Amino acid sequence: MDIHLTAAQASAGERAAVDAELGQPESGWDGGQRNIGTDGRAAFGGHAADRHRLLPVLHAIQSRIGWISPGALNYACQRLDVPPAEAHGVASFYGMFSLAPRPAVVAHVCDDIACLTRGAASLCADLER
Amino acid sequence: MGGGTSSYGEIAEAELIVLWGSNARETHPIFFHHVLKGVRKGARLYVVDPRRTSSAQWADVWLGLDVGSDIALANAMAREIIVSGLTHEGFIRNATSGFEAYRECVEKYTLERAERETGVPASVIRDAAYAYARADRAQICWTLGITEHHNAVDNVLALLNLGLLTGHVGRYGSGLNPLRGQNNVQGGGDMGAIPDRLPGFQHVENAGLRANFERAWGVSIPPKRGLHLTDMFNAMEHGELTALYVLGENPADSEADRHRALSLLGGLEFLVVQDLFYTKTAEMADVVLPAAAGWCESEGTVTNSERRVQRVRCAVPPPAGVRDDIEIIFGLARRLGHDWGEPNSEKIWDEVRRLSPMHAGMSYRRLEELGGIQWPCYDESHPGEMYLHSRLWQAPLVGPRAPFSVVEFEPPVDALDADYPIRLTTGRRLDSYNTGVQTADYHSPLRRGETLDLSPEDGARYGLSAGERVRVSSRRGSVVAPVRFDTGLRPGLAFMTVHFHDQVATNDLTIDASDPKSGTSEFKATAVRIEKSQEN
Repeated sequence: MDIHLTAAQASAGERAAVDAELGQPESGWDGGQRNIGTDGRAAFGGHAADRHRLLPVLHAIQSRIGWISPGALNYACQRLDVPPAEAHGVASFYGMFSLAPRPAVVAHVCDDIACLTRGAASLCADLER
Repeated sequence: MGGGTSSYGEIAEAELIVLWGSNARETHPIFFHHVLKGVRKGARLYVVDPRRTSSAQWADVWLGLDVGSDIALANAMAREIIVSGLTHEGFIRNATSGFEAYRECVEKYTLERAERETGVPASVIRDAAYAYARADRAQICWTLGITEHHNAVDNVLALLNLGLLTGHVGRYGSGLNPLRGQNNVQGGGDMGAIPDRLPGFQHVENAGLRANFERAWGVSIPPKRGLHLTDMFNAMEHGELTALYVLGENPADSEADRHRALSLLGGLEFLVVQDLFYTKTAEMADVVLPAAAGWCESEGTVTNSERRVQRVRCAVPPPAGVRDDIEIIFGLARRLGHDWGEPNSEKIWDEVRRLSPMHAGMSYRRLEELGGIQWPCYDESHPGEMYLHSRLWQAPLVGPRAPFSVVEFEPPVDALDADYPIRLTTGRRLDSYNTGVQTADYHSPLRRGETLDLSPEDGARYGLSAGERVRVSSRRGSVVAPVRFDTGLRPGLAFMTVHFHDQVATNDLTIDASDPKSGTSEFKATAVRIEKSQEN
């Protein structure tokens, strides 16, 4: 796929998070070190064959780094051959993913009706204090 | 008959698509939509191209061969298919000829040799051979990467051989397809704008076929084929051709070895140019005949790469002083003493239908009703053919056998050496077309003008930075162009377009070594040297 990435680069930690999920990149074309002897003669992959691994990869970045930076998203897209717009759409859709830095620890409190009757509001107030 | 064997719809239904010497993503974007439909349905895409182009970025496998080594690759794939027992034996036996000689020829092309000649790893070549042979429905599509070589016809034959070897031709979903560069390249050939053919691919040197036209037209037709473009320039050089009538072509910019082309055009006694635009060639002309825009100011037909003849309608009248092509030609005939009456596109088309059997069933009414018809269409009850050569699957075979061709690898004419160590190849970009006559006046946010594209590794080797102007010299000429880095290139491989000749005359560099059969110059393979320029 002719994906168009921004200039943002992933940090070493972000790359490690993605690589822990997908394994090491096989060539310069999917985000590894460019080795022109082999990369100049053949490339494999092409069109989002690993599209189904997008969510696990986003989870890996989110849980290891705490948020999904533009550079991390670029690297994920390069590894998976998924267009950045599509990956951004997924990452921004789910509340559990953050596209901006978050505090190191984030508490999630359910404030739906059953939890409200059991004191969710006061729990939230306590946490915010 | 010369045309792609398959329909666009079949591309989307193929199991395997090979784009060979084609960057369809940029040069045939509409066709590439059909490729993408196939890819989305699970087709595997193989792209054979020296550059990792934007098309190659979509491929399951990209084979980055050396420029001009296509025959070595195709023959090695064939050998691998044969030794692995993946040929379609029944098809070869029933429908082809010359297999033994072909087998002997490709026997020399071992994987090891192919890796040496092409640079592509043997394992990748073997994989491509297996994938192509094993697919139920496989398409090979090619463009100028195959044909702009001194051995263009041999390159094409090498691909056709693969289709014959595996039975990937003449049946639904499998085929062999040249992609045409303009909306009506196919139609031009169909109508006889080829030196040796009359309309409907009828050979001019066949007395019987010629007689039909002579009877209809009441004149005798020269019994010998004419000259193709490259022959014409050679004839100009020898003083045999002194007057030239150019319709919708801009050879002053588009010919390889442009210095020579310009001096030959300048030496003509009489040059007429009939064009929509005031081209560089028109600037040199004695007479310029302003022509209407074929797509909106004219009635007629065009024929696309899937052989579909379609109606073109006049939506707006041409501006004052501008005439439709057929009106100009009729007017010219009248001045030369032949009154053909009033020009009428449907009357001309009906004459085509009377003289060209493959168009006989295509009345304007049917073309309109059916949304175009794919030739051949022999009578008004014939729906046209979705794919060609289905007869090859009939048993017993009707008509001639399809011949294998023995073709050998020959490197490009313009050899690399210590003085000219870089292989320059040329091509097009998405938003520009050929010499820019049709596109330069339109704004495009993607357009960046001419650049010399190099691998980042060569940039480092020559100590160049992006945007820096460098001198590019071949054995014929020299130009200055800004550098751009493209990771799709490897060291030793450079790329330029011919879109911006006023800025950088790329064809000052290219070689006019041409294929003796097709007349096409080897635009794809020039040996160049790169030097830092003082002009920064």
